[in-house]
Amino acid sequence: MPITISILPGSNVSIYRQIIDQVCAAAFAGRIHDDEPLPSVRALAEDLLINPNTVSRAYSELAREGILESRPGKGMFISKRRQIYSKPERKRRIEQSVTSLVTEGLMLGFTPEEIVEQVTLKTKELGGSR
Amino acid sequence: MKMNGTGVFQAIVRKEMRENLVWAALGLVLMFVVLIGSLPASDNYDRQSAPDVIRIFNITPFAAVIALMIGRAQIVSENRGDKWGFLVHRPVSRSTLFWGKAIGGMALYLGAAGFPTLCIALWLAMPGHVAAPFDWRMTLPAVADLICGLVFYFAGMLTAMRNARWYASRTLGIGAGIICGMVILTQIHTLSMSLAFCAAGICLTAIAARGTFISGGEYAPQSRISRVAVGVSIASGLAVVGYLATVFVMNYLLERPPGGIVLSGPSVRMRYTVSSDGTIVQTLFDEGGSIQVNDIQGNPIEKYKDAIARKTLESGVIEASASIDPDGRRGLGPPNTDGYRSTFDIYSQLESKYSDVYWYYIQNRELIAGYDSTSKRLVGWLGPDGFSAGNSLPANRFHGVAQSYWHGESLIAFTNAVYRVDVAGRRVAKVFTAPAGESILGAAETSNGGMPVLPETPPGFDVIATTKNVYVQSLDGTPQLAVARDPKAEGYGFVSVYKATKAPGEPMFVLYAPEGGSKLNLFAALAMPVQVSQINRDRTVGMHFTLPRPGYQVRPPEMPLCAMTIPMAWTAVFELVANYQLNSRYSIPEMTATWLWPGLMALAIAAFIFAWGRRYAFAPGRLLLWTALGLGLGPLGLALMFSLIDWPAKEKCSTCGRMRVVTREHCEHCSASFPAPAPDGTEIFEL
Amino acid sequence: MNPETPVIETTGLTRYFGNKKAVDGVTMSVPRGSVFAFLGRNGSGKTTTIRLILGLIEPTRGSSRIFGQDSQSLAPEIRARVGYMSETHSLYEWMTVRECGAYQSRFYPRWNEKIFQSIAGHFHLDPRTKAGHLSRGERAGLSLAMTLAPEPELLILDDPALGLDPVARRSLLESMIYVTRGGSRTIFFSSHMLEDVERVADYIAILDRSVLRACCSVETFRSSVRQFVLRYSGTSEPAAHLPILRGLLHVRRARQELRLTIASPDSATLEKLQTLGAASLEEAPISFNEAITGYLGDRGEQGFFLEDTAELESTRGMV
Repeated sequence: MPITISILPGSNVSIYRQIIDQVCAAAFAGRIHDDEPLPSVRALAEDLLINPNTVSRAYSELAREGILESRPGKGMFISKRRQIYSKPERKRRIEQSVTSLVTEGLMLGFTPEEIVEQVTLKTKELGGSR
Repeated sequence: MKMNGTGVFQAIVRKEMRENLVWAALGLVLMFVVLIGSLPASDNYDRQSAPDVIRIFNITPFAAVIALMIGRAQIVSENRGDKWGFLVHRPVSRSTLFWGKAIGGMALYLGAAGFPTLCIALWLAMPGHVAAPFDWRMTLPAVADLICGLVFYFAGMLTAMRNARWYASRTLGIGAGIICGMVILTQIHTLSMSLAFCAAGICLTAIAARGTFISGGEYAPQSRISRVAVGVSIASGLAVVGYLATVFVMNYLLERPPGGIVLSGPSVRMRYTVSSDGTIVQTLFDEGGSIQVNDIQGNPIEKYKDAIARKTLESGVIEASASIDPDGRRGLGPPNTDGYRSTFDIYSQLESKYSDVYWYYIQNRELIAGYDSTSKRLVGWLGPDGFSAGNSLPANRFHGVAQSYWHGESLIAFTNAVYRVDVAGRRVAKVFTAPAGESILGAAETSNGGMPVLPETPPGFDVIATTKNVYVQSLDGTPQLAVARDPKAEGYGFVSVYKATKAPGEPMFVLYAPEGGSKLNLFAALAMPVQVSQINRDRTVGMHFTLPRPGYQVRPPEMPLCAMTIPMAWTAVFELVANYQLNSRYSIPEMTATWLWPGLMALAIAAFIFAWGRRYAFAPGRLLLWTALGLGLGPLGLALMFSLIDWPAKEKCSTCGRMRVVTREHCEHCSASFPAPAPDGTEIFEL
Repeated sequence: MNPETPVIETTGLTRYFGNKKAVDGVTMSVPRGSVFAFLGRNGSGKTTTIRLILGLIEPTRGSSRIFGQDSQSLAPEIRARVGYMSETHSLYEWMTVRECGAYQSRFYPRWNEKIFQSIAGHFHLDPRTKAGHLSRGERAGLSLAMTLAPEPELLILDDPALGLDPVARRSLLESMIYVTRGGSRTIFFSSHMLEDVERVADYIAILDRSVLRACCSVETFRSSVRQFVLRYSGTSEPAAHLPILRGLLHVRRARQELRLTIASPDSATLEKLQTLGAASLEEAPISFNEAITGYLGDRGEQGFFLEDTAELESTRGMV
């Protein structure tokens, strides 16, 4: 199913990073097949109403990280190989997300056990489709 | 693919014409109103004066206003800000844009001012509309005025375009048009010279307007030719304003005549005349009337010391003056009495008092035409054979140009014959035929000064001057006198014959006056003596007198204040020209007044300009030029400098501490460059 | 011409009006093919700079070049390659939409009528309407159509979104992105719509009261402007007067918190932050909008609202 990317200008997160994050999230969640091309730079730029250079840079960064690969004549696709992050990098990223999640949960008044329960449920739900 | 080149130019012209059509329409309406308003009233109860048709075609001020309006409107709507950007950011040169505007605007102006004029001319040319002949040459003043209007057109563009700090200085360009208009109205007698003068004025203001347009309203970036043109245009405005201001101040505030370097007659004038007891006397008079009567040696005559006695000085003396130089009448007056702005070469009006019909001698028909004042139609023609009614021309014409024909008399002189015309009775009688070998130069009859003929009025006579002689005859043709032309009066313009009817023997005098002699220098003629011959009782030439006259002088300015405003250049030129011609000499106080005050002022102004120019870091050539202009033009030069130049701001130099102009990259004192703006620590530069 | 040569280059560009400096020593270059946003508060000199670059007015000092040619003597061939739309969307009000297009087309050797028609159609312009009777947005559309139809290589837009409704603004953005097709066309525009700038700009230049203070890529700007949050606990409070911090843009105070926005903080500045007695010091993410607004505002500690927040809170209890 085709990916829908949307961006929000005025956010604390730059547009470039928003694109990267959304493609990453879609890739890891398996919402894009590795034989579906991503929208072309120009098409995405005109759709999102942003500078094509921004899209181009985002795609380049994603390709550098190994998440996207360019197939000549056909466009950008989700890379078959996913594991290009180094172990420390992967650790850092997951730690960042977990910190954010746990802080939010605690602030909302959930107990650690309730938070873990949420995580478990979600992992089962999303990870199951892999 | 769209075309370029001429397609662009045409597009610009059409756009200009459409955009400013409203102003042209306004001008058209204005012109129609003015022209129709100046048509002679249909109920003309004033039988004394026939309609003056050519006056209608003197349209200078109205053409000027319309031209100014259109020229200004074309510029003012897009001369600044975003509108200017929209106009000039195009792939065409600014020169092309300017000429597109100019061609379109000139076409609009000529249509707006010319079309009504043409309509009126056509209307007048149709019979039954005005009780006067119509000749297409009568529209020539309008032609000259329309062309003069183009000077105002470009002056209007210049005014609207100029970036000048005080608004008034922008409008000074109009002075060029005013001077052009004044010159062609008051000084130039021929159409070709008028057109040439206007062409020069148009070149001036067009170059100035174009240069100012191309530079976006600034003075400094223009080419040298443009700057000179702008300078001259502004200077003309300053001259006009300065002149009017001086006249106003002197006349109304200080109540003294302006003086200045003017050509002025003596305040007390002198002329020669014949007294009632048959002697030649010298009369001195001023604006109030005669003040003294002298004999020809200059000694006052006792009898006439009393003002009441002076009133009867010429009692019983009758006189007729005939022209003896056919070309001399030309140039005696301003252009609207002779030259193309008058009917001088087209027709002469005959005395038509108390008549229902206006009579005109038509030069190219060599016949007299009569127009009925009510129906405004031609009633018929008067020729040497008398009156013939209707439009068809009689076969027999007068021959030779009418010379010496004065309005108000009934005599018309031709080279071969002199006729008396009785307009009321529609009769023409030949009163004199030129003898063989002589051509007639002029003729005149004694006038009664408009008084009705009473029994005690002495009988008049006719004077006919030919190339060889002067003839005097009674009104019925009886010869009274025939004398040869006075050889001493070579080149003179008029001969007058006097008869003192109340003196014993009715003595007669023949007096020659230089005025009107076309070969004489106009100013010199004023100072030449009159030649008088006394006629003996047996009608032979008796005593001859050469009577001197004081001429005109150059009068220096009365007040130092006035003198100081006169540019030295003007003084120098005027002195050279006028003094050389008149040969007048100044006394020491007059010398001082003429040269000292303007000279001191010129030096003071030149010094000021020099210091000011130094202060603003003028380049040496520029400094020299403006100092010279200050010296030569005095207050005009100073005003010109402040009108043209935009003074740059000044700042303290960060290196040497002195004030420096902001327009120069390097300080004029220490050559340091301007520092880059001071950073405040938040700079983010990458490119 | 060399693709590396910047399309616009200014050197020490300065313009005085009377004694007042409107533009002071602006030196910047606009790379070919970029979308370059020119930012600054109202009255900072942006329109004057644009007019100087286009050669519509004369500089007091300094110079500028377009495609390598001096701005004061731009040849018609160069002007054919530069499209310009002014802030007020200047037009000849008495011409109809069709006549505007026809008149404009006479001037440009390369006029694409399809582009004109499609933009005019997009804005729903009736060819018979007089330009003076169009609404603000429609005028902008017509002006845009006239500017883009000659397919200029350089597009200079002075506050193009001024007064436009959101739909018209969107159309404007679409046109700008459309122009970037082909890669070597450059857009130089001034704007207050920071969201739009964030969307389309590659580079920004910022004019602060006639002086150029920033000229860089958008990423460089974002990474240079950083926000630090100092939290105070217990009895300690932020100092009433801060020491001089180089690059300080903006300070916001709350009861136990200090938010400092700093441009390009160096290590010395970061060290100084440690000495302010805060319990915790962290860097907070900052949006493009906030970064620009902080950068444009007056430097240092300024604010519209009352400084004495304590007073504000005590009065709150009384309501």
